[in-house]
Amino acid sequence: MMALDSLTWRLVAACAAVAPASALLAYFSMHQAWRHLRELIWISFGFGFSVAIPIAGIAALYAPAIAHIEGVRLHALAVAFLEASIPEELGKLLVVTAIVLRHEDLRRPVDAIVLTVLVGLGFATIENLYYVFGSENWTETAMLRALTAVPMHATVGIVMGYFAARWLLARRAAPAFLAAMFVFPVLLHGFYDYPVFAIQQLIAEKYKLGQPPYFEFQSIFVASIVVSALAAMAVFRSVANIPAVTELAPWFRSQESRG
Amino acid sequence: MLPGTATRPAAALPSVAEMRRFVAVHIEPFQLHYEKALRLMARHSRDTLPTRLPFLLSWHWPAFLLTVPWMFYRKMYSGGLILVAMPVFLDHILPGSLFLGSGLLIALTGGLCGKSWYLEHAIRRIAKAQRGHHDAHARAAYLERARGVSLAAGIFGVLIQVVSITVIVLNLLPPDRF
Repeated sequence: MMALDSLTWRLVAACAAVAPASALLAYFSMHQAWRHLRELIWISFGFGFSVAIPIAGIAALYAPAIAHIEGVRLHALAVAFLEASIPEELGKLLVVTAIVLRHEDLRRPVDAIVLTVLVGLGFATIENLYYVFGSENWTETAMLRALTAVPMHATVGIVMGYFAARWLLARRAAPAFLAAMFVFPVLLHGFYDYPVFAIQQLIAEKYKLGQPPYFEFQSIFVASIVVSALAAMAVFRSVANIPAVTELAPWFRSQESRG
Repeated sequence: MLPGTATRPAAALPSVAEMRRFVAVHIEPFQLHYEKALRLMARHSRDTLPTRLPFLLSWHWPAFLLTVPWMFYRKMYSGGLILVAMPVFLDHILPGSLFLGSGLLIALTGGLCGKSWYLEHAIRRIAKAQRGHHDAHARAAYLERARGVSLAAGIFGVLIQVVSITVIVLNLLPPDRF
């Protein structure tokens, strides 16, 4: 195992933690289609990164109370929703609605999808840093998180972004879309985290691998990934069917036509 | 390509009037400070400003006391985010490299450069509006959204600062304190 006791290995571990989200950040910021959004893409990523700091601080206040909950299922459910998915998605939602979507460079509602994905990737980056550096086997953690947690944050971002785009266009149904921006990501994120925390606890309680509870949680984990992937695909299909989402937003349309 | 993003001949220089309009929102009591800084930075011109202002060292209390929240409040997101992310990376790559003095150093830099940073930021936004929007209406509407302050971002910055200070203080306490 490569211990993180030298600067070289620390740099390698930092790169491993940052690489998956950074690759997507580089792709979005260099792509011709989002060239006009380059600055806002970086800002969204940065706010996703930063929002984890107050969220971690707030969650740390009530984490000891959750630690006392007994029973594998109930404890994992409480950690997954109360400690992880609800505060994290609430933080992302606040950053997206109060800062990112109010930025002057946002011109089309469809751009909201890209920007919320970037907020999610920023969040995944800082989370990766702490998980990788806090793990005894950092290479395995970095690899596993690159394949599961980073895509999960991106997928949840796609779903939140879709409702954000609809929220920008909506007049009467705006509160419903705002609620959907919170509820669907919380459910997807929570049901991804629930089996992970449950399996962690089973391992901590010395359950033997292959026993029935493992299979139950592994099935929930696979199901949550399939549901997230289907949700992302549904978003891509829907965006193509709602032309207004891909056009200039009303506030920019009126300005351009005046000129 | 989106309307309004087409390349066009070199844009006109940002005007002093546009600059005044940009910095005016929500800072009426402090506008004199910015006006004075602007006069010192661009003394050679009365009507238009260069696209890059010379640097001005001038004390700014809000930027000293609340560097990151102030930057977010004034919509200088990129700079504020760098100041948030840098210590996180440094703490992981070079553990122990951060100390109480680092925070003071950042605050002092903010206090000395704050006004200059903000006026630079304003001139960059105005230049971006001129590059991206052909007509005066679209440009004015863009600047209307760009100027002013963001209270939400300011509160967010305060939260980050509070959590960071709490973590630093908790780390300074001896472990048997808990």
